[in-house]
Amino acid sequence: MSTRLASHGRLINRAHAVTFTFNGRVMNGFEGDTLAASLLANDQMLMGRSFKYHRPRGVVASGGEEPNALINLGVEGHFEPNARATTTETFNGLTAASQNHFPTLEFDVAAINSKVARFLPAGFYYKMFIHPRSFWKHVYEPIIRKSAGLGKAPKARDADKYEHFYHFCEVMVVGGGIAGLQAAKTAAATGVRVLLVEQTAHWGGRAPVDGVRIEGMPAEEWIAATLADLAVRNNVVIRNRTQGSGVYDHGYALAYERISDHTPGDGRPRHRLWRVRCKQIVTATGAIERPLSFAGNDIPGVMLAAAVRDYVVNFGVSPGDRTVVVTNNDDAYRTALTLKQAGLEVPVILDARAEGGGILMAEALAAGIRVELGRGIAQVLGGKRVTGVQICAQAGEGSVLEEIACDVVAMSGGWSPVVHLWSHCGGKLIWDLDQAMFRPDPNQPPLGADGAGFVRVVGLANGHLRSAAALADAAAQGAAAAKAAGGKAKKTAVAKGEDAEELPLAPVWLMPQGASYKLRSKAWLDFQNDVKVSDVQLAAQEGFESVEHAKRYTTLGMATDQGKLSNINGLAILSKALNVDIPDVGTTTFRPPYTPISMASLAGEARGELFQPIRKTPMHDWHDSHGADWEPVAGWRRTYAYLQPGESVHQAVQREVINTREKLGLLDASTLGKIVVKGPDAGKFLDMMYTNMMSNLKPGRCRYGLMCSENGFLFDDGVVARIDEQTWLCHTTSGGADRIHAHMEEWLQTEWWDWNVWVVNITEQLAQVGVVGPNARKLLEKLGGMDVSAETLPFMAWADGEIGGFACRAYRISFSGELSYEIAVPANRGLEFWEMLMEAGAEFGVMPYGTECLHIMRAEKGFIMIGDETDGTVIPQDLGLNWAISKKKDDFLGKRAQQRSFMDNPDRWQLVGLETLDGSELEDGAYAIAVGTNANGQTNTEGRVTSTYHSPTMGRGIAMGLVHNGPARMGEVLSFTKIGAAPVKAKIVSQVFYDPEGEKPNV
Amino acid sequence: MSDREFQGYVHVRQDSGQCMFTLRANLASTKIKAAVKSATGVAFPNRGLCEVSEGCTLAWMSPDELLIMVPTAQAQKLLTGLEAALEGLHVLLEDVSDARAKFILSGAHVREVLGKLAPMDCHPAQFPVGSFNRTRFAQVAGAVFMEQEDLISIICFRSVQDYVFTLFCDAVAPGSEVLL
Repeated sequence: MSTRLASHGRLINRAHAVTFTFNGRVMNGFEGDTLAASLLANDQMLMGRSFKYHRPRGVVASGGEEPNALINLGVEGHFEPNARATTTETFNGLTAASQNHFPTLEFDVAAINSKVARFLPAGFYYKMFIHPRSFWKHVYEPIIRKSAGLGKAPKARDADKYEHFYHFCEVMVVGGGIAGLQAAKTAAATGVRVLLVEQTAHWGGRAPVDGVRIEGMPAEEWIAATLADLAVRNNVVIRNRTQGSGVYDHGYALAYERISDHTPGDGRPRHRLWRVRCKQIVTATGAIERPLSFAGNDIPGVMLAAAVRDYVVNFGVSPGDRTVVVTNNDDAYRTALTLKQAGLEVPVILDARAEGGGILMAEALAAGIRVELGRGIAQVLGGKRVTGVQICAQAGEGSVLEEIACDVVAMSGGWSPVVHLWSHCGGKLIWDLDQAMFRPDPNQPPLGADGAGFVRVVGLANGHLRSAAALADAAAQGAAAAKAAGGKAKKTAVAKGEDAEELPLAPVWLMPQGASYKLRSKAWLDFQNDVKVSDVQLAAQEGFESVEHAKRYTTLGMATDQGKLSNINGLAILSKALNVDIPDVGTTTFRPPYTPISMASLAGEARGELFQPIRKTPMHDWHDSHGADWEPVAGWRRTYAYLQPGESVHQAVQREVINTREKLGLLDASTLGKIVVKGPDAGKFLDMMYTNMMSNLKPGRCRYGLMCSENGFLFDDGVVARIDEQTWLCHTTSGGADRIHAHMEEWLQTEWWDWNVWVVNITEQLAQVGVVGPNARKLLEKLGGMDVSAETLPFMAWADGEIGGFACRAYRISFSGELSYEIAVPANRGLEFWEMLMEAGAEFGVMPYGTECLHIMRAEKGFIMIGDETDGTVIPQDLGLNWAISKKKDDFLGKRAQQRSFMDNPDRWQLVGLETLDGSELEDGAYAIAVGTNANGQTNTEGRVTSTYHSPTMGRGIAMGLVHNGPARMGEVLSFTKIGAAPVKAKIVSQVFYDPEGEKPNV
Repeated sequence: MSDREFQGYVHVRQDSGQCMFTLRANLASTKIKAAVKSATGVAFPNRGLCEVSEGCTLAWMSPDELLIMVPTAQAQKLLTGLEAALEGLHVLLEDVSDARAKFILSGAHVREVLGKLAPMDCHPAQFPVGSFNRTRFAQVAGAVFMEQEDLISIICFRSVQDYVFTLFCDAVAPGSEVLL
């Protein structure tokens, strides 16, 4: 039985009882409990099932390293799978359910896997499910996927709020144990900004549990005093329930604050992700106790020795009445002494060391506890709960000397420093032979941009298991970190720690050391993933000698705890099997985060309405209330078509084209890029930017221009207007505005820094409206204010003036093939201007049109669209745009590239129009089929469709495409692919389908 | 642009009463500095700072870009004066009033609200009153002007003003205080 004690419980508030449910059963706990403590207090040792064999699992640890006690937490919008009971604070109304079992936790049918375990050794899945090949996808994988997995996937939308916080400081200290507190205190004294984070709700770490005294007082008092000292300093930020999760390059670190996990529904965000930039990081992350590998070490009731005393001291919870302690070191004697002091039975301490321990052993003997030296556990007895142990000689093969009844086994195999954060960014480790542990190699730290280390490890995490050394280390390194971060050197007193002297441990990687196969195949390394000593040995035997290979073959350390308990034991077994030293086997890679953090905290505020910014034109809301069917364009929303009641999108598009061609259409062209280029060298600059001449454009006139990358590929186009002697205004594509602006700045800043040219992107300053169609001029003349006649404002001219009382700039340009004006007004008046045009245009049949109508009209005219006819591999010459490539200029961006042999070559795919013989529409991207097959056995192709529409003007399908030697093959009929159907025949024609003489716009 | 507002643990308000001009010029040039100073009556700002006088603000955007902010009522007079003073110099002066949206955050915790959305050091020692910084707010570009210890102006592009307003309303939700 596990139960609540009348004594102890330094972290719980007995005055404040809470009620929660586990698998529907109502249970009681106290404020300050972890869920694991509450469950144990309710005699719920069985907390889950293992991943592979579905074996019953009890809690083994008391912190973030816990592999077993994973639960489904909360319901619906607050549901979270795989929550660790050891790090979940109990609160009133908490709902928890165990995972990975069917039908119930107590009776799981899949536990049969355990009985056939000898048929499921390491690599079983790889060996078994590969035959026959086709079965994997259709038979094995679906079944395995269904049976695997721990927690359930959440189904409801996350109801909580999450956020990020950018924090800057000089020194970040991770871990609020005594070493972290000391390091923070020392660093803070130098005046630099310090951030101190602690993952649990409590400060001080293990010291208060382990009976450490500091400066002559109990650790708890020193912790409170140090915390109070730090709290009043305005250069220190301290945060509990905040885990230093990851260390990255350049002093970047992530900290994961669990704000309201323990107070759900109080209106606070659930998690906050701190994105920290600091100069130095000090990790005081403590150490994790190692399990011992003996048969039956996974039976509920077998726990880490330190965890057993944590439950007693911190939560006043007894994991059981009779606890057998098994150890290879002195520290575990503290557990025996604690239990004895709490009035619980310790029938025996099994010390694997033949010589036993020091002062702590003497104390245990004095307390009347039986101590057996050179002894170990042959096998634990019990199923869903420990009932006893069989004792054997550690040196032997496991012959049973004696059976002792107990309900808890407290095991300790020594301590492994938490080196994760040190290693995240490349810090190396050394093997400490005396302490049998990997600890940070101070000579190989993770390096910052300056080539110097930026992470320091202190205290237990640095291999200092005794408090005096840990505190001295923390003080020294805290000061060094602060100095490296720019702090003023200041001498601060080092707190003196006292604890019992300890004798060295003896490494024990297998118990007993000569355990038979039968025992080894019941000695668990990875509790969650069911990896046993025999599995790792098999992996080595089968040639998986690299630790990374052995890990993946056996799944050792691949569980949600990422091998916090299993890795060192596993690689010790591997080293033995390979007959090499442990450091020669090495460790697997430590990757952030330290423990799993919520996906939602990574997303932060970016969800729902804030998932992605949507750029809106000044007329956005008008479009929205007038039937806009939206299309995303370069972060903007543009109207694809305006749907009238009862219309389909296709019908709306067809109507808009016909109305614009016959009467009058309005287009919101505000998204077009508008870049002002000015200066004495602006003409010269634009001649380099565009393939054609811009320097000889006359003020008051416009010219269509092409821009190429330095590799010669066409990447933007638009109309350029010359404003005055030194000023040009360049229109870019909607998607190109920011890109072309940056492109211009880059050339001006890096290459032609001595040219006198300034550039400003004024895209969003102006609302721009296309007034398009035969009635366009009539509308503008009705509104009045400026002369828009063909004489004063001819095709490809522009003028400043006023229309209907709005100061504006009017351009006579056309992308539709109709009489067309584009009129720019200040953005703040854009909506007003638009509404005026709509109202005044009613008598001329005005209708707004969207981007698809624009596309069809330009395709009917054979105008290219960047992104349709171009894809980054197309040069202007491919599109028949040679007329827009100046031959007079010495140079322009792309000129040299276009002279390369494979560019300056008629043997390319070139732009043509395509008309299907049956009038249907070709598929976008369809390929023209050529004879024969290529080296890969694929059908040869000789062209592809770049734009294809149903043209309401022509009453048939029209298309443009790039065809091998296309312009020379007019009239030829090609076959184009159609997915799931027979190829479609189409004739090569001119791409100008509508008004080939260009009479319409020029009136 | 609307003058919407939201009261969270910090107050968020849109301010559309400002005109803004971008001046591209060599800010190291004494001629440019003198011309701007004479036309605006405002001291020339150093790197990372703003200078304010009689409602007119000069903000340092880059070594060759200055942002000039002025209440709408004074804008035309200022623009005329600037154009006259800069005549003949190699500069580009553009009205960007309509291209931008401005919001004002006010309250005791303005710095930490900024810290939730902008990857910048908001500590008073690093970003004292009078500082100006170009940064981003979550996913969009923006600029910040630390006007007073409890008042920050932020500027973004007009096309994303709805996003930015919603973003800050979300960040000032009561209960989400960081309280450094």
